[in-house]
Amino acid sequence: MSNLETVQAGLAAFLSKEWGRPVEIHDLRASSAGARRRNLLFDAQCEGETTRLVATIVPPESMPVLKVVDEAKVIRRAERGGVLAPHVHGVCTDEQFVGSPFFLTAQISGETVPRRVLRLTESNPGFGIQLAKQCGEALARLHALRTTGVPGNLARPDRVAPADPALRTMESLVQGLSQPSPAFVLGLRWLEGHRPSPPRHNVLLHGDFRNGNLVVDKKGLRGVLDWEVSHVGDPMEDLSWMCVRMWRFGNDEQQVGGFSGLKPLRAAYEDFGGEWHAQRFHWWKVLSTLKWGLVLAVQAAAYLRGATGSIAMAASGRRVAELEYDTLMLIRDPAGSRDA
Amino acid sequence: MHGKLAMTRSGGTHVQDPPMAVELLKTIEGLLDDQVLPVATGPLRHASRVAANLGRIVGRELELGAAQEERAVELLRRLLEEVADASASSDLTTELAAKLAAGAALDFERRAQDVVLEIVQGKLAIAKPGYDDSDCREELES
Repeated sequence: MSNLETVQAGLAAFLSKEWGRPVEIHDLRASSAGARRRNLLFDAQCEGETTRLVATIVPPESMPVLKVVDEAKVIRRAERGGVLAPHVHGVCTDEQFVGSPFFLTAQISGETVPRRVLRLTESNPGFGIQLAKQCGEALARLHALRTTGVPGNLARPDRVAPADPALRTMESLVQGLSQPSPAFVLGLRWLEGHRPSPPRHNVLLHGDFRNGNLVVDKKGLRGVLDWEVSHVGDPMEDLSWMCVRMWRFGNDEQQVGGFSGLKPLRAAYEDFGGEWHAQRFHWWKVLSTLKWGLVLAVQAAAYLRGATGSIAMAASGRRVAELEYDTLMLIRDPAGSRDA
Repeated sequence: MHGKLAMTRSGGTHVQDPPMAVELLKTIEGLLDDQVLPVATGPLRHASRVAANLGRIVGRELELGAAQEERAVELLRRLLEEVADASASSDLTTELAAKLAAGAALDFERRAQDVVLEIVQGKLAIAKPGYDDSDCREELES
């Protein structure tokens, strides 16, 4: 049996056990989304009814921030809170079914590939602004959820300023670079010198909310995917992450995902109860930019030590300069010291 | 240039027969762009696109790299007030990063920022020309 046939048989066995009735799996295929994890789309047929599902399979070699059980809990909590998270249909930690832990969610129709999302917004005036507002609403709803009862490894005592551990992680990554980067050291110095006041409350964050993890169709935002790096922290971290330049895919003048300016996002976030803080927003934007530059450098280092043969990982090294430039542009002005 | 072969304008060395390195790279790019990409699908298509882009990066590095290294050494030596002239830019970069990390004076940090920006823009001229066209003014909107 091919790998796909094995997975197909494993999914059928799992769902038949879960639902207590025989289930057949049809039209199993890989999704283009998901770089580290396998996302497989399929139809589950049971007694004449078809359910369109996605299996997110976490290979043993990848080290997820969240275990599938915890990620599924977060997704369920977000869905209950009115965020457009996909409905969870099942979680499986038993590796006998498909060889790795996985969870099943409902398929959501629409585009996820960033450039296709941008084509949708470009062909429809005003649509980008609408999408930014829907993103602001989704994040405000998510950030309003209570963090009590979230999986233990997500929790962070409410009194801890989330900037501190994030900064320590960046410091250690900058120190570990095989080729030192004065630009990133300057970024780090700026972050240390402009450390913001902590948020009033640490909240549940998506952690990777950006163009590429959004499902969008002609009517607007349909779903928010990929919750594996969800954690508890400063709400401005989520908002700034989707606004950094690398997630604009060339539409640099449109700060929000390449499809809108900032004002609609901020207005919707505040309309739905979120509290915007300009200084913290800017601080987290600098940190997010620096973080992505360091991720690229780490990817290139992994290629050089033979941990991966991927040409894209090799090419990552030559993208570091983009993030060095963005970091220098972000810290050159006293904008970060302004207060909201 | 003791012990080294002089680089030609097209990035090859005099001892090699034509086509020169830059010309060979253009041939590889042409193969990827015109013959592989139209028929490749899935991950191979993405990898081929990345490979063609890396070819263009190496081509620009062959043309601009030596002058850029010279300029970076000049800028860094002036900033760090180095008297010996044997340092490569990578050694000077390491020295600058360490000095900044240790906590340099504000005036030095500002001058360093200008120097680092020029060097980063040089790297972008090879890795992604035009990336620094945007001055990111909208970043100040929040």
